Amino acid sequence: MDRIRLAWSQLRQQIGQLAVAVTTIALGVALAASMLLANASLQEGFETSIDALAGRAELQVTSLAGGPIDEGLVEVVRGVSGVRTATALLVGSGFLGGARNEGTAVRVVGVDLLDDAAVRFYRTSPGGPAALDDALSFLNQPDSAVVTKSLAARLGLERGDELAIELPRGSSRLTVRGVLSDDGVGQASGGKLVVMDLYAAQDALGMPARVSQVDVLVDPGVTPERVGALLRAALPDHVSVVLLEDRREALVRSVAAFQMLLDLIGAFALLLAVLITGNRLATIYQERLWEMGVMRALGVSRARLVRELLLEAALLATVAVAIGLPIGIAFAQIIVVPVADTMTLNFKEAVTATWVAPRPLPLLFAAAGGVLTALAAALFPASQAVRKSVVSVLARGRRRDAVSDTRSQKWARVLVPILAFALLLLQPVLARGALDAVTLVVIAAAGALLLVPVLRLAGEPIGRLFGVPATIGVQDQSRTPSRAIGAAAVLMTGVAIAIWIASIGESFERYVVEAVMKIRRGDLVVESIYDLGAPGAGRPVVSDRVVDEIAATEGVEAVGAYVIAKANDPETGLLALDPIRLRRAEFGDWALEPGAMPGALELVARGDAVLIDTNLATQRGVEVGRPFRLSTPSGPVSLPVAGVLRTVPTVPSGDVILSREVYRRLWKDATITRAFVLVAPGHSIDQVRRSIQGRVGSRYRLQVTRLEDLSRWFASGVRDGFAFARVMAVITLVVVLFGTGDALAANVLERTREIGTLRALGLSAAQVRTMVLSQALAIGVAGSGLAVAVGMGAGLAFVWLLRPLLGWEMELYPTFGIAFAGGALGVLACVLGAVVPAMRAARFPPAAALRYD
Amino acid sequence: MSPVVQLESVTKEYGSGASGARAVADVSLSVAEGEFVSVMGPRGCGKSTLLNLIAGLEVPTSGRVLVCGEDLSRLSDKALSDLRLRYLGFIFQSFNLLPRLTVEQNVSWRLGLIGVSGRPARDRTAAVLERMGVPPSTWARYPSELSGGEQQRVAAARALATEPKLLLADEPTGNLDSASGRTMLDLLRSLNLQRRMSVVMATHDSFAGTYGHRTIRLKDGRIVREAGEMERSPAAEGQVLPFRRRGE
Repeated sequence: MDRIRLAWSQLRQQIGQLAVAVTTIALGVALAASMLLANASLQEGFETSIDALAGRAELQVTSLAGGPIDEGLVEVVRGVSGVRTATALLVGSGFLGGARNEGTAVRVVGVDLLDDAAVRFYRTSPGGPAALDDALSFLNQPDSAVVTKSLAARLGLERGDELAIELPRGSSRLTVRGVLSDDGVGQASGGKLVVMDLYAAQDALGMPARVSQVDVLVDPGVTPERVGALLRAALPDHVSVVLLEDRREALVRSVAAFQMLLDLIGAFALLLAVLITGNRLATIYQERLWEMGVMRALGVSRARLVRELLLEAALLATVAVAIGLPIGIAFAQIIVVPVADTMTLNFKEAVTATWVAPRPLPLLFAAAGGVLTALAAALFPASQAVRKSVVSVLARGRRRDAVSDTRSQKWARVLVPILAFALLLLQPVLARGALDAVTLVVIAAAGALLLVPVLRLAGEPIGRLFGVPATIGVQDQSRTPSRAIGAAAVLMTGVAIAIWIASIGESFERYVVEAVMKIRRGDLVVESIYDLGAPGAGRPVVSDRVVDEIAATEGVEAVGAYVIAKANDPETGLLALDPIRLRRAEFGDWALEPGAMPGALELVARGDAVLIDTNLATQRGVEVGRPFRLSTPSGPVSLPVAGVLRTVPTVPSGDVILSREVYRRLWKDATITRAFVLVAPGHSIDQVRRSIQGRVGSRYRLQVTRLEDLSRWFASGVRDGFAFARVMAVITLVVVLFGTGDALAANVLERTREIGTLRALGLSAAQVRTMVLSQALAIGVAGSGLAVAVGMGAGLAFVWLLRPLLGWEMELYPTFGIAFAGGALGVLACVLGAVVPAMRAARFPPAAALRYD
Repeated sequence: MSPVVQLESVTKEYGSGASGARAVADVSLSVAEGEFVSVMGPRGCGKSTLLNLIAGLEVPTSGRVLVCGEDLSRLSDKALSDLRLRYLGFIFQSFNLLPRLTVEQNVSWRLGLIGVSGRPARDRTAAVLERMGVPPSTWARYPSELSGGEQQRVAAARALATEPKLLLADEPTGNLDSASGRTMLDLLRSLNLQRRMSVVMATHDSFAGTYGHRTIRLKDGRIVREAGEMERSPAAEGQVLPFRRRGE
């Protein structure tokens, strides 16, 4: 306790100087805590959404090929030994009508209410599952609907009110006959849920006698695995039986990588805190060198001195944690919504988290992170400080002399950057995985090692540009660049992270748009007016009858449609195209990877083969010429792979591209997702657009737009997905401004006596200001220049690591605009951060500065 | 001829009221061109403060300080800095060489500020270093790689590179062994004699004090004794004569 009291009294003496360190650690802890809390909350929201529609079922029967299954299979399931209850469910999507909520997507679920209650509503709040006025009346009236409490509140609905909704069979007006509480099933799709009677839903969704899934509860004493095996034996091949626990785990696993990204951002925040705090503590220890020398002379060992300093750092961290945690809890409430939106966009599953509870485990982790940050920040400067000889410390006080590089440092400054460059060049040909991580580390190390030479390099021209005081300043700091390195390191790390985040986002957007749009070409695009990215709503489709009607419009030369679907077990995206889209180059650039079969596109157009995308080829080891087995509602089908296409798949595991005629025949699905129109020569595109709009637009609720609008729509979707990352980039730059300013202030403080000497020998206050600002400019140019290289290099290495994160490959585009902007912002942050230290330095009373020792 | 330095009833106090301390109390002093004045006294008597006041590094609480005819209190920071740069040289007890500049750079950087650069600057730097007896082999070294005596010679070279009218030396031998200290004092005296450079040297060493034409003794910030008129003007006769105290 005495030692803590002693350490505390030391801290109190330097409270002013330590304020920056405390603030930095507190911010790092706050960011880490907010990320961890938001993560935990979002994970729960995601799992709740997955669980909500499954109730407490143990097994789920779905179509192996995607889409609904015959409702007659429900009775087959019920007949299997060990099945206690089997509940059918039909899931579709609708869009709210009415001026205020036009186009809001909702999930429409058809359930057999009387039966389903036993399984699904088990977890609803007391007071009854749906608080129906009269279940019989509900069943007897096909326009009956139950809405969630949150949706009712949002739309201002009460029992008996009408709900305007667009369903695949057309516009409908449903009557609200019950309100679901927002727990249990009400949590599915973030509360955007309309429940109908199963048979009414089949009619409204245009899927008579079909169900999406059958949820199964097994008899007591029988294992779900056993019943699952019996069900598989009893059901046709195109039906899948899965253990819900397995499915849930697979889905949760799919978001684990995304959550790792969030955790990484929290870790980066703590890394920046380590750098900034390390800088500050190094300055403080430097000031206390003499005092440490006295303690050593009086018998305190080096190890004990380090322990004392670490104890002080731990106390410092305790204060910072106490400040940071409440800020983190508050910040989590702010970031949870945009991050939830990003997850929803990425995983097509409604993730909601409106209130982030302060959970103990994430807070404990953040607090531990804060303490470790302070200890890590203190360890290096503390061990450096106690290493100096007692005699020299007592004789020289705080002064620091120029030191030359050791031979190993000189070699490292040459070899490590070469190694980093070589690793980057070798990335595409070497095995991936651990090597990517090694490359990232080597790039960061190269950046750190190059700081000193680049600082010297940047100093020369800046010195020449701003005159003698600038020359003195940059020469001076490039020879004992410890604080300057600290500032440049903070700058480099922060700007590199910002450039890295922004580059990945920008590349992602450009890659997605280019890769997506290259196979989606035409003059006009015809699609549903509703938002395709609606959470949990599925993709809005329209009848393919519309294709013929568009083709018959005057001025239309050709129409080519596609439909996007999904097959399960294993999950495979289906992109079914009208043959004309493969035959005419105006509809897309179908440049296949080398090794495709001769006439591959025609083979696919004829329905004799399929194409696969690079992700599917890589992940499943599928080769050209080999048969690819597809599970379809009409039974399994094998078609040869004619070629491989590099594109962005509709599902992470990859896509199969096939003829829509094959899809329509085997999947019995006559819908399309989107149609592309070529306008005949001599006709105005806008005129044709208006004609199509007038002919089919209002009848099918379609919009007709130019191709550029589709491109913009894809781009905005990606931008939205990276919105939170941009916020993080901005926060990083703000922290950089803060940290760099602090490091520069430390730089000035350490040179107080020299500044006094310079003043005594004739440098004016203005020249001292110029000197400090020139030093900052040199640091800014060196730090930012390296940040650009490190940020872009790390971005390049990281795209390989993105595969497990996103599930598919992408390319990094050279984002020179972002690099330039990041670099310029870095330099600006550095110079701005130096304004206050420069003014302070200029105001130093020279005589007092000379006495400073 | 107007004096190079003139102090008129200068007082310097730190703090105020009961807790305030008077470092210099009502000091009046005049230093003529070519004069070598030793300011002596024990530690804390106000010697360094007096030099700082002359250099314009401290602002007097009352009184006036004139250097080369300029009232320092009327000068802007820029003008004051310019005066220090062009007319003053300063040698410190602890050398105060910039540790991250080489010996040559430590001397030449002030030349850049007065518009002497390139070859002329290099030539003048070399000349002054040679004159101060700093061997060329050390010119590319850092101050920490030199002995105390060498460092003080570099500090003197730095002070003299701009050919100042007034040299202020604050305990220039304080950190030197006796041989080096004597060499430094001889250097100061030869500069004083050969260049008619006025020198104000603060020292607590009575031997060093004998190098001045005049000695001023300070105690608690006051001049308690001003002694030793020149027996003859060494500056006028170009001879080197140690000052002898009255009565010796």
